[in-house]
Amino acid sequence: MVRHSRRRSSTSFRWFPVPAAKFAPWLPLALTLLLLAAAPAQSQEPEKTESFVYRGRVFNGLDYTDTFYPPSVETIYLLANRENILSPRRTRVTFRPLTGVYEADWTSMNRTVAGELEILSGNEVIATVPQQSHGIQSHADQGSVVSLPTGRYAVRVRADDGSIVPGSQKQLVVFAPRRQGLGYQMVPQEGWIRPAHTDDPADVIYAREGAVLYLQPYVAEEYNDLYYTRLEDPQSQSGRKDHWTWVHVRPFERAGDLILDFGQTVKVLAMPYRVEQLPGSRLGYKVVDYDPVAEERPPDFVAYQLFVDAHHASYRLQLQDADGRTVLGSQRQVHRVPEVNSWALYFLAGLPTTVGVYLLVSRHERLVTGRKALPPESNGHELWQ
Amino acid sequence: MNRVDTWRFRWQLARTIGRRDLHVAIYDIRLYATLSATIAIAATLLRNDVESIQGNGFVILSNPLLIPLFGAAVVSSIYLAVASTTTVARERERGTLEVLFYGPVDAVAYLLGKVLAQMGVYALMVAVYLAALALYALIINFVFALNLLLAALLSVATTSAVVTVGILLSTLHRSVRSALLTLLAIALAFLGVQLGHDHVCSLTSGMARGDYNPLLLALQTLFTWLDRIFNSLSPLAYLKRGFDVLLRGSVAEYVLTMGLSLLYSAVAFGLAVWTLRRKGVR
Amino acid sequence: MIQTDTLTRRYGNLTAVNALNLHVRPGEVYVLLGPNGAGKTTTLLMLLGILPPSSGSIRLFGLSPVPGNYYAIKRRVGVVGEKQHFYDDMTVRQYLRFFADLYAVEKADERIHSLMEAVGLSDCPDVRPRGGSPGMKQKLAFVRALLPDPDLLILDEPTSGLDLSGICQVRQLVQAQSQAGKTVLISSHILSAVERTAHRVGIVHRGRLLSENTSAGLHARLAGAQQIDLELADPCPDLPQDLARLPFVRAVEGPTGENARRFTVHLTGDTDMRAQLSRAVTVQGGVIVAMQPKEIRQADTRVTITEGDIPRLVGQTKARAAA
Repeated sequence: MVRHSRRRSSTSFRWFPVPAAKFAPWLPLALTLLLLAAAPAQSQEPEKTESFVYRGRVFNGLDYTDTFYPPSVETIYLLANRENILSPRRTRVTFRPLTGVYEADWTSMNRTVAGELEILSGNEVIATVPQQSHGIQSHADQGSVVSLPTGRYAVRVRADDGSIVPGSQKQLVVFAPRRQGLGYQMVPQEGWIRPAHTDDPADVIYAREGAVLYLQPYVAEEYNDLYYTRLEDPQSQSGRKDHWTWVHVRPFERAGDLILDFGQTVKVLAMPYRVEQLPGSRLGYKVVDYDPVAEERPPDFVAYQLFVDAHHASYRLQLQDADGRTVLGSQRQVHRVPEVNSWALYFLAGLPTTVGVYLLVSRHERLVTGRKALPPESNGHELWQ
Repeated sequence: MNRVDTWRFRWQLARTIGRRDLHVAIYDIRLYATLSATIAIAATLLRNDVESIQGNGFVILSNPLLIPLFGAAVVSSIYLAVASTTTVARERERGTLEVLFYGPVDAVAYLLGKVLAQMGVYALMVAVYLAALALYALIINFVFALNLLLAALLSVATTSAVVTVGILLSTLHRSVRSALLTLLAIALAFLGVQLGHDHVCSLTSGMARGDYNPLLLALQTLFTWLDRIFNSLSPLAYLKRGFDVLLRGSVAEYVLTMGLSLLYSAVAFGLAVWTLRRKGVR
Repeated sequence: MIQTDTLTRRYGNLTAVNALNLHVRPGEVYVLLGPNGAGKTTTLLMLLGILPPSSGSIRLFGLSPVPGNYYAIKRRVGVVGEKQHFYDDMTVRQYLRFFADLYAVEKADERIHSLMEAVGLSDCPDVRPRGGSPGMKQKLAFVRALLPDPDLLILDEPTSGLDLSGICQVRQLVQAQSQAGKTVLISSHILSAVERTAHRVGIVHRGRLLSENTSAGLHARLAGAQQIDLELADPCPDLPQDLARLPFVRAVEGPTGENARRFTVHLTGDTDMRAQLSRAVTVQGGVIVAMQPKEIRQADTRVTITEGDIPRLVGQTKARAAA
């Protein structure tokens, strides 16, 4: 008798422990059951609980805003080298599943938590900031002023009795803009759209022939998208750490002329304009020239007017400052988009299928011709050589 | 035969097999239908841009042709995923695989030829897309930027990951039907995990962990891990990442994504060779 | 040319090839003869490197089939498999050109043209093989195998499905290759005119090489074997199985012919068993309308080798072989 080894042969080799064909039908069912199981969990609404929170008055590059840091927020984001106020409080907090945010019931409870704010770098306390009354932008508040260079820190409140207030420890990310640039806020002459912004020099302004646009230059700063989003809304779940976002921080006040480069250059001056609301059911607005002599009220805005004519398919614009120097980052390309029968764009899409059908038909014809030449079965007289 | 001669001969075999498969693909109407469909998608996206410009007077765009190219790359990847998943299984099913291995064809040369053919098809598709986009850019007066060429180059690397995974799946199966079912199952699993992850995260969005229902916490943990695993295993995730990197203009991440895609492809190719050797050609 | 040493292949508990020691000399025509399931094709697949052996060794052209020798070996081998598989999308010319490129055949177009002329395929280079007859497909497979002018030609069941003229053509091919000094290894379960050209025949049964003999010696063992052609009045579908159980019946072929009423019964020994056969058919409910005995002669086209033939071929009685 021959003993055979129990080594698995290649014909019984399986890559997966269970054939995919058997497994596949059950997977959607399993996932659906899991997700349905999660549904009852959603209906459980947390109660209002008394919690330690921070209330903030923070600078966002343009001005100060009020922020709120419930226990769910583990990290506070602040701009570097700016005064911000962090105020430790106790209040009643409740979670709203519909909005996905915690809300503070300040009216029922709004108690200041006594103690000093400690700022740590690593495990070392680098600053201790007492709470004081402050006025920022005519808004009086009680809290600790925090102004730090860029870096990662931690904050906590040390109570008067020397203990750390539970729930007060949070991470602190202090950040600065990656770069500064010049952006434009743009509106068309009439319409019903929000102003558009162009902040990246790689942006291209595409406009139709005859469009009249108004450009207002702004100083723009580029921030980390995640940090800036959480700065403005600490409970926000959006924002990506690997993305960057431009923020218009203030108008560019030393603006000179806008230079349009068609090959030859044209200067455009900044002029005042006013906005007329269009009456009745038309909705929208219209930008009209401002006559300083005739008008009683001041202009609504000052901007550079850009007229997209039929003669120039594309050109470059850039801003000069009051001293006539080109402002870095102010260059933009303008492209005139012609009126195109949109459906004509689909014509190109049909070409590949046309080519494919032609190739197949011509090959089929070649094969049909060849098949007709198929000889009768051999009669055995051919000799092998 | 020394190693150099072996690889030289292997390369010649791969080219012969690749040329044949490429020839088959060129006479496949589905290739042209895919090209037409993707160009139509690009036309639709660009038409929307043009109508928006005509309606609003202006629009600010930085990479208007990048999104259509991304759409084309995704659709092409799906086409190639199906083509590469069926290629080895079909030959095994029909018996032509065994006939090939009667001759001086080994697993490396054979599969390399398959990869070359699929990548040749993709290169052809990319050339057509770039030509179509260039023509559209001319008609609409959109900027045909350098980063489109970089995106096309990146998509070749990420598509090689799709192709090698498809070929790996194909080596596992003896019939086209079971190979396609497996591909479908994997695609549905990816989709299911993504949807599950998004759903669970929407339930827990903003909630402090202490307020979670334990089941919800467990589900969130499970789906987060599954999502991470699937994202690192999905070739299409590399494509998406690559285009995202281009939009953000990060050169270092671009190079990293290309490198990771090529490494992924190499690993999948190695596994495919190993599988074909273990499973045999019958 | 071919040397195997205790070559073995197992599939779980089944041993398909069992310690096979095969030695085929250069320039020899060697036939591996045995019934279906004897392990012949498995042996060929192991020689070609398509199936890995469970144990044992192989040497082809004095080289072991390690990865470094893979191309050196395979480039010198031409194979015609049992079943022919072609690409649906390729014409005959394209198919042969593809394989010529794989083998790196020099002056490929000339070589293809001359081989196609030789086999009678020169009039149909632009047709697809799938539309052709079995004979045409077989010819195409031979041309493919001969493209690299191989030193070793391996044929798996080369006469399966061929008619007399096809068998003659294959025989001429084998003889021509042998005269050119090539080695031919044939695997077959049919002893036909082709196998009779062999210098040596190895009898394979249940994975073992039981004996080797010359073609003439083998045929002498089979000489005198009887064959009776039967025609029944009505179809009798269970008859072949019932007759095959009889001790004096070696094999039953059929049914064939109009309404599936014809059978060929191969008998053991040289005693006249017509009466016993007739009685057996009647017991099973069959009505014989014609019975034609035939003795197998040297020139007979084909004899299908079955399990029952093994003892005779190896030189044992049936009873001893069963033990």
